[in-house]
Amino acid sequence: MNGLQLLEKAFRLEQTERAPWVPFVGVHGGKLIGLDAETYLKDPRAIVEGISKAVELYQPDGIPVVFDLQIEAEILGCKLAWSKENPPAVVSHPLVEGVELSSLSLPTEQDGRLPVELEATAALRKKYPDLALYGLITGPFTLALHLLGTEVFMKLFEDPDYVNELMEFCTQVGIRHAEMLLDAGCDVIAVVDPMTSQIDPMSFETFVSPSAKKIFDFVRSKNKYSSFFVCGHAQQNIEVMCDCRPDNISIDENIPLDFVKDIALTKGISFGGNLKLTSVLLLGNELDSKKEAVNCLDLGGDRGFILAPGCDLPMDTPVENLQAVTELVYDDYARQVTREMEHSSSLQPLSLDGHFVDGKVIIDIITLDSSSCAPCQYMVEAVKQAAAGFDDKVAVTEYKIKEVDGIRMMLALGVQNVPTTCINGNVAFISQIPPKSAIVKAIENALNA
Amino acid sequence: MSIPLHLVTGFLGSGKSSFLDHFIRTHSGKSKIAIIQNEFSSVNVDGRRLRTGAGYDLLEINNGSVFCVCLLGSFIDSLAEFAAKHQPDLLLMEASGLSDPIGVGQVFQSGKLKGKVYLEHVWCLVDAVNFDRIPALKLRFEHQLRSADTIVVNKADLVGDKLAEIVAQVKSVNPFARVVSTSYGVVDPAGAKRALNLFPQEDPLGRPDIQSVVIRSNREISPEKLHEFVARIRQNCFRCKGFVKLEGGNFVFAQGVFSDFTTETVPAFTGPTELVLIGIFEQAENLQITYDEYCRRDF
Repeated sequence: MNGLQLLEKAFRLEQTERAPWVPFVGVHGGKLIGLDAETYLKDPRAIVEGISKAVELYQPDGIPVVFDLQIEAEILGCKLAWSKENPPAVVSHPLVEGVELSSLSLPTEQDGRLPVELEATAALRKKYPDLALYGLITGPFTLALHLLGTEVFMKLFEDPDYVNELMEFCTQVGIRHAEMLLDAGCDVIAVVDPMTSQIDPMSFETFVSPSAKKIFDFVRSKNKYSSFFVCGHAQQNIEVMCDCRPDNISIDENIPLDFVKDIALTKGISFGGNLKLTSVLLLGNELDSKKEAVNCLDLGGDRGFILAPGCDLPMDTPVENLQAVTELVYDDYARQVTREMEHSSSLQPLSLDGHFVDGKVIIDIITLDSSSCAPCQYMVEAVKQAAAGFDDKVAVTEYKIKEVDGIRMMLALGVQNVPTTCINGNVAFISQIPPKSAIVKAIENALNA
Repeated sequence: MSIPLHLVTGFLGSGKSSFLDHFIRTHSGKSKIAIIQNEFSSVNVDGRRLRTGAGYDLLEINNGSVFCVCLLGSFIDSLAEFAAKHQPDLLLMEASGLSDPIGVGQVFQSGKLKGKVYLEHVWCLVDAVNFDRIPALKLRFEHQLRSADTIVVNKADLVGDKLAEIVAQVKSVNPFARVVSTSYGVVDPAGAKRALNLFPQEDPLGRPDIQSVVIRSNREISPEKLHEFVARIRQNCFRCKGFVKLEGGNFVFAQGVFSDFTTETVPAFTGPTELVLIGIFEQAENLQITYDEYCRRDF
């Protein structure tokens, strides 16, 4: 089954053999090929190259073509400030600078950076027919904020008719953009509306829901799938977001995944998220990332859940952290090991006082459990066979990380992978089962040391 | 020396710029202050004009109006470089009215900033005249109040007798913050200094290698596990403070200075645990992951 088919199953709430994985690679794609954000986002060939690199490294089931919520705003007259490490920022709001809403017109394929985005989409579609391509559009409320600035909050109650008129325009922009992306080959339209996290459910229903529903109905009429992305403190709005009838909602770490799961599944839609972006993917290490991923996978379950980061990946997110997530997605054994390691941060290492004895070789093997894990079993058998010829000069002990003391021993020995064999406290063999001769030699070296 | 950073939050029009002006003027010549603010806010263009002549260094960041947690990555490098170059005694960071203050606090856990810059204090400016004018933003406003160490009810001169009522409303959301009422953002920095001082016998500015860590978790924790977590970090943590989500959706306000850790039940609200820790922590340990583990620990 290919990535697109797997995602379609998740969207339809059918059971999936594993959770689909959609890393939100935006300007991080530029980082992968050594380009700054501005150069990357303005060049369709760079985007194709960056996404191709991400596909190779992270083996996703789906991926956004471009993650940039300023494309529509730029076309409509907002000034942008470009940066080397981030998507551009909107720095002017035409509707507070004398521009009339009625003078704005809907974008065409030739406007702004749409040709860049559409060319990249078409090329990636051709190159990866089995990968779900996400086309992102700026959510109507976030686009309204780009056009009107923070005035929009005042106007929610001072001039609701104007806000409704503005939201209707932003909705039409979104539908037009979605249509172009679908025609260019996208499979999923993601309506990204982070600024709705600022408002309460009643304002959401009054001003955002009618717009969002129109966009999702449009995508449905094209027989494609839709997702509603929100980030920030939007827990209060999850229910009203689901009522807008997207096929999926995607959230970040600010909202509990199990909370979203309960509401989304009750409402009959799929859901996704919510790997922690800053504290884990950007600033943590591989083990942190694996633990975070396994938690999300276990909470999300195997029906309707799509594993994804909470939002656009920061440009400098370490590649190895995302590859660690990829490993977990595809490897059940890696998931089991990570689950056993779940509490490693909250445990103290085992004391090694008296553990080592002069004149004797102490071999410690850290395993998941040699009775249920094949690589662990072979490692333990190989070491025991090699040690047999040395009689009581060598002591072999297996530490299973399914047991608390096993994890504590793993911490004490500084072991990172399972299975690992340590000889007199030093890591000797990691993961791969060594030939008997190599083990014998290592024991002899230790005896003669 | 680790540089303390103060976050200044508050919605547009609450008087953040006047507050910064006053802060700089009262510190002028006494300590070296640096300001971090959004390059493109029209308010700040005015603010800069007002402050011409006052001595301070400025780091302008480029986040537009939509300040999202996903844009924080590049901020780490620019702040590390700026702090090393200017070595101020205090960093004052103005957060956009739409930003998420605690999210900003997470970046100080980066290896490039650990032990160099730490989050010491969060100020929240409240516009006494308009604070409840936009009901749609009520939840965001309450979140900002809960994130604050000091809440400054500004423009107090314009509300007359209603001030006491406004202060009471603010305190009902966060009874644990220091609340001061003022006009034109004028706050007595001497009083603020006392409130901030971790080591009363020392100069409050500049201590070696201090870090701040922000824990944000949607998981519920049992009171016992919360105490176990605190006991584990206690010897490294000088101060911790924040709202914690307990089992059953109950919330407590938790705070501790060295070994003295207390919790107080507060009315439940929608939101995650947000806990700021200040201390000297293991470089390798990711306390966010550790906290999440304590939430799940069943042995």
